[in-house]
Amino acid sequence: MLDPLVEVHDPSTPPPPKETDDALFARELPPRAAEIFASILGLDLTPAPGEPLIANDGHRRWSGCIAMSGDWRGAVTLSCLEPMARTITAAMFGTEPDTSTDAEIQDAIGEMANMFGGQVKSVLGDRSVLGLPVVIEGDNFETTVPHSHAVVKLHFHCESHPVDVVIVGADARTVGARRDGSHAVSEN
Amino acid sequence: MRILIVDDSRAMRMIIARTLRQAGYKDHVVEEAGDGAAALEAIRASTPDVVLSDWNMPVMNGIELLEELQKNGPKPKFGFLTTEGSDEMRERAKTAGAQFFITKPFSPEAFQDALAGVI
Repeated sequence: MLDPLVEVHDPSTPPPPKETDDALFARELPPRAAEIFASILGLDLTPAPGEPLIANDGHRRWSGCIAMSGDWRGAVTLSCLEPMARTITAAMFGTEPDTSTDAEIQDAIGEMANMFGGQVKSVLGDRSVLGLPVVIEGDNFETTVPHSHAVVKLHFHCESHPVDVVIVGADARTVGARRDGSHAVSEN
Repeated sequence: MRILIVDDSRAMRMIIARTLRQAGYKDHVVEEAGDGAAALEAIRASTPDVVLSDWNMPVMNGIELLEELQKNGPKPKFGFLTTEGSDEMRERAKTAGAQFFITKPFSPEAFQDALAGVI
């Protein structure tokens, strides 16, 4: 008699498909993102799937981007509009949003990108090494990682403000010795 | 007790100091350094009792700082507070002499668990 706890695979049926990175991120990252916001900032972060990402519409916004190298190569970008960036900064520094300086916002958004990068790395089974964060601000810019494609785009709300997290992965053809890839994919 | 927080993010240094207080470690002198090289200088000038260090920093990273201290001293109690917590990194930290390893994001309870017997 078979042990009911032993899973028996019928060789006549194909094994279940391996979960893709985008499905993995879509499942694993929202609760981890919420944990970062709750434990570090004391703020609620709620997934808002299906909504469009923050657009270039003349409003000042901030993006923190961190690159990942190693077996899995790509980048993680966290983006939000200025009021959310100020709220994040104030929560980190223990100050008021209106008093945050650009240097403080830069520091706060960079550290948030760093923590999101750490979570992505963890979801992937620690197959990568994180770089140092880069922070961009302005009212009309694109963040582009050459030779990469968007793996997943996650949209959240925090205190009624949008927060976007975009993960890009290196194109397969750029992994290894070949460096002849020529296209770049914007995250937006 | 003197505690040195080493992190290139000023915001994170403030959060770590705040979390230490929330974890009950209130009556200690907390000092800060912005990277491993600045920490090394501060430690050699006046050795703290405990160092809480980030791993990934410019100029000199956390593991380079710990390995330098193990080679040439002094040797305060040392642990990491980092976004990266792979088994490989934990093993390297332990081998280099780290006494605790806390991953970000963290809670006051995580501090209490990791720092029991250290502070």
